[in-house]
Amino acid sequence: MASASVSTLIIFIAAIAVAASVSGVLVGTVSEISQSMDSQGESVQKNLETDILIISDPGSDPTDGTDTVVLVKNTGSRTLPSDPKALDVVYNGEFVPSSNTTTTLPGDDTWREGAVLRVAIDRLPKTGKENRVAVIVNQNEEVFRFYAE
Amino acid sequence: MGFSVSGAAVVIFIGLLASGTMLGVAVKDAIDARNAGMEAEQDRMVAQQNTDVEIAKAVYDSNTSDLSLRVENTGTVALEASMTDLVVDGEYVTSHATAVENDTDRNLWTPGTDLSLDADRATEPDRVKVVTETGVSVMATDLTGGGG
Repeated sequence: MASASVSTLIIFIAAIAVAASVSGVLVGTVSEISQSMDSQGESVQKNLETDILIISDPGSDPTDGTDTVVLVKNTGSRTLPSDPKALDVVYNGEFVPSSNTTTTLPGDDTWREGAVLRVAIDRLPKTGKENRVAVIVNQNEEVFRFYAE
Repeated sequence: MGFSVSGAAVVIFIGLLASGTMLGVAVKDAIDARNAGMEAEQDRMVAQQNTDVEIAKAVYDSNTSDLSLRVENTGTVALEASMTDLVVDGEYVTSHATAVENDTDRNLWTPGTDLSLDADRATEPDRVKVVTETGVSVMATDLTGGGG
């Protein structure tokens, strides 16, 4: 009689242990999925709130002697990082590393909504040709096309 | 045997309940964030569609080296003078004075009113571009006629 109840107890403990580990794995996995969904939602929001516009005049000379200068206006609803590392610049199909771009904020401290970022790219345009500069911030791409005489 | 089965079932049930709650909260948060972003985007698009500006006057006075612009807000959105940008010959101009309806203290550029932009330029510019906060821009190329 005693051995029967001992074996019942052992089976009970084993069943609970197995169930608990199954539950634990389930909760752990779902918690990881939840965290990923949270950060994905945040990044989607960030991308939707980001909007930039290149306000450079394509009819004027966009160079300052050594660099090509593009003026990028923040037309979105969030302050963007103004560091060159936060921008991706593609010049005539060629990626420009952040060490070759200099950013300044004329008239503002941060690249807030409505502010203009002056991006000086250490490249010169092909003369007598059409040139293309793409600036990408938070997956928002803006293309500036101009003709260099 | 009956005890073990129901005990295990209770434990698994609690686990399912906990993960279901967690997943539900995460899905709701993600959808909320996405909706907030979409709402902001739509607001911006509406403001941009309703923005319209026109250059009423663009004159460069060679005697005083003063570039004077008068831009009318012909849209239906109130804009801000401080967020309006001036690009002269491809160069961004920071030091320009603004006035709404000749009042230098006013910043809100309401529909139907004029924004005056004045900047000192040593030489006569060829091209002047005015960009509003929503990204709508206007351009003037003929600036002669003032004082010169």
